[in-house]
Amino acid sequence: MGMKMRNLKFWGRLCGQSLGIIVLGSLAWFLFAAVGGRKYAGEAEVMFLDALETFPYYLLLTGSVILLVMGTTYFQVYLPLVISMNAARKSTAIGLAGCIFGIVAGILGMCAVIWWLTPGDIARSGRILMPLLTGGLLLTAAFGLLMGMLTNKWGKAGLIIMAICFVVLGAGAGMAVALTDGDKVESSFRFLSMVNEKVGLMFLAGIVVYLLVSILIIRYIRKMEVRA
Amino acid sequence: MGVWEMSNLTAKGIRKTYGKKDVLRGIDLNLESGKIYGLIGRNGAGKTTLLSILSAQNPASAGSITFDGRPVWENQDVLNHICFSRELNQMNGNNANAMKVKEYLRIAEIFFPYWDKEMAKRLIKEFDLDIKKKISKLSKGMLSMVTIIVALASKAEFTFLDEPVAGLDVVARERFYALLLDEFTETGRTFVISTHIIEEAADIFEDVIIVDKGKILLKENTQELLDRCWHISGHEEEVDKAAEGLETYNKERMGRSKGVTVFLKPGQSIPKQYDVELQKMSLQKVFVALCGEES
Amino acid sequence: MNEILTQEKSIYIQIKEMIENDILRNILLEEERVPSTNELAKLFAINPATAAKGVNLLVDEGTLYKKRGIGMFVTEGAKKTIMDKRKKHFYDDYVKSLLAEAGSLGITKDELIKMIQESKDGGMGNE
Repeated sequence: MGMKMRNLKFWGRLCGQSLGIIVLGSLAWFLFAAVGGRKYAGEAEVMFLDALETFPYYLLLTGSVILLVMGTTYFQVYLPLVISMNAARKSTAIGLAGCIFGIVAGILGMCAVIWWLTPGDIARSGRILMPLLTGGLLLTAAFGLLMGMLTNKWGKAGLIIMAICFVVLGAGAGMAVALTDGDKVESSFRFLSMVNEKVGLMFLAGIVVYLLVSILIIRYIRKMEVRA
Repeated sequence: MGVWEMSNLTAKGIRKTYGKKDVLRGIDLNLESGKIYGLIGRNGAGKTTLLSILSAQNPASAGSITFDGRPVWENQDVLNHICFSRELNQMNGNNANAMKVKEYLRIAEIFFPYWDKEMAKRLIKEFDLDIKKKISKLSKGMLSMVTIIVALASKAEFTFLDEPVAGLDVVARERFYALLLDEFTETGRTFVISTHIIEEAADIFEDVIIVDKGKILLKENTQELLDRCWHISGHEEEVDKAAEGLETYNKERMGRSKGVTVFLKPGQSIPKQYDVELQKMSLQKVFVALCGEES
Repeated sequence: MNEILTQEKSIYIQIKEMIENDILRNILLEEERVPSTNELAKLFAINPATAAKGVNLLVDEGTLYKKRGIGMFVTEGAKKTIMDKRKKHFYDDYVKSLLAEAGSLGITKDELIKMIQESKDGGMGNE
């Protein structure tokens, strides 16, 4: 088995597993919050289709959390493991970056499918905001990888930084959930429209940052020691 | 199994510094294929570091490692022929412990190109290893067994084991030596085994490498080394005469009785006319004589 | 062949002597195949190269010979050769230390000879 195949087999499976976790996690959250919550309002089947268009946001939020966590886990666990099994570092680093990128692409792909196939305001705004969200997710993924690298380098200190990030993300998540709430859609859409101008920038920023971080981790991994 | 006949794994001028500590202080070593090497040295001598650098698991601070002249570092073609199976609890990943043995072996199967799945299965059965268990829940002995399984099933041409028998009881240890010899006689793979349990393993090493304070003290055919080490004992006057001009270590005295270890150089021999007791020494005793004294 | 290895002598010398002993005891007959170095290595848990060293000494001395592709065999007349060789070294191997020990204990040569003559051990019969 050539190295490319081996990498694909390993990192590809990891990517798939992570996506699976994200989908299941989002689904659970979604079913609990959207469907369960709406039941109180007494609406029937229409409600389900209605709620479906918000599902991508659950995906995005769950995905962000997982991406941040996975960044550290992959760095601390799988990277040393694979290198200890004599995989060249460069291909390992590319595998890691690719895996994370695959998760991002998978999430965005699912969001796109849902939003392009469902009617409704949220879906429409979602379609428009796709580049923004793509950039945001890539930034998050890059951040997660960075966290992983720092934790690997500095141990506990890096973990503390991660904890702070979680708090910040929690606040952001709370905000996002509030945004999906019916009557606030208009005002929040107006807010997002402003950011929409910068949509192109966000998208570019996300891609560029992700590539830069990938290069950074490749260079770090080249010198990395498996157990000091 | 990959077949690179008569390959050489060569280390030149290897230095390794961690912070202020010089762990390896200039190592030149040539490992020929088709041998079982014993790597012995005191704790902190640099054995593990040396093995990890030889297998590109850690970068050297200076020097180079080549495989038949080709660099090992970041060279996947060469890396495919090397396996360094180290104890799992040494791994950097604090979370690797949450992984199941089954998963660990599955990853090994992916990354070691010559992995022998049948052999792995056989060994798992023989060791009675529960592969559904998490690594963190394994006993020390079982951790050793996983390390051994990876090393043997990797079928890598150069396989290194760092203290593979730590944690194994004596019966399991003897079983390991037998398995190792079986594999060696069948495939001729090169093994480098580092161990503290010297006496047990001495018989299976063709060559022994002694590492002391970050340098190679000697690398020699085990039998030839043992042939030239003698323990001379008796009346101190006789012993001194018999040992004159020879490289001596470890002088012991009790009253008029004296004992000393001598290392003969090529061409040297112990004169026969003195009334002294001449005894052969075990590899363990030789090692202690060479590395036991505080300089 | 199934003795245990000791610390006192080089392993490969012990291998050599074990094979010689087996030839003397008719455990290994002339023109019979001798265990291969790999088999010996496994039996004694030693490195095959070490076993080979002992076996090669025997080949050099003519006690064993190699049949290509099949293995090592006991040379015809090896038993007598070994006995002769050991007889030659008998004095150095046994008598010398016997005399030294007797000497340090103050046993005279006459007393030693008397001991030997009156002894019923060794299956050599009495004079």
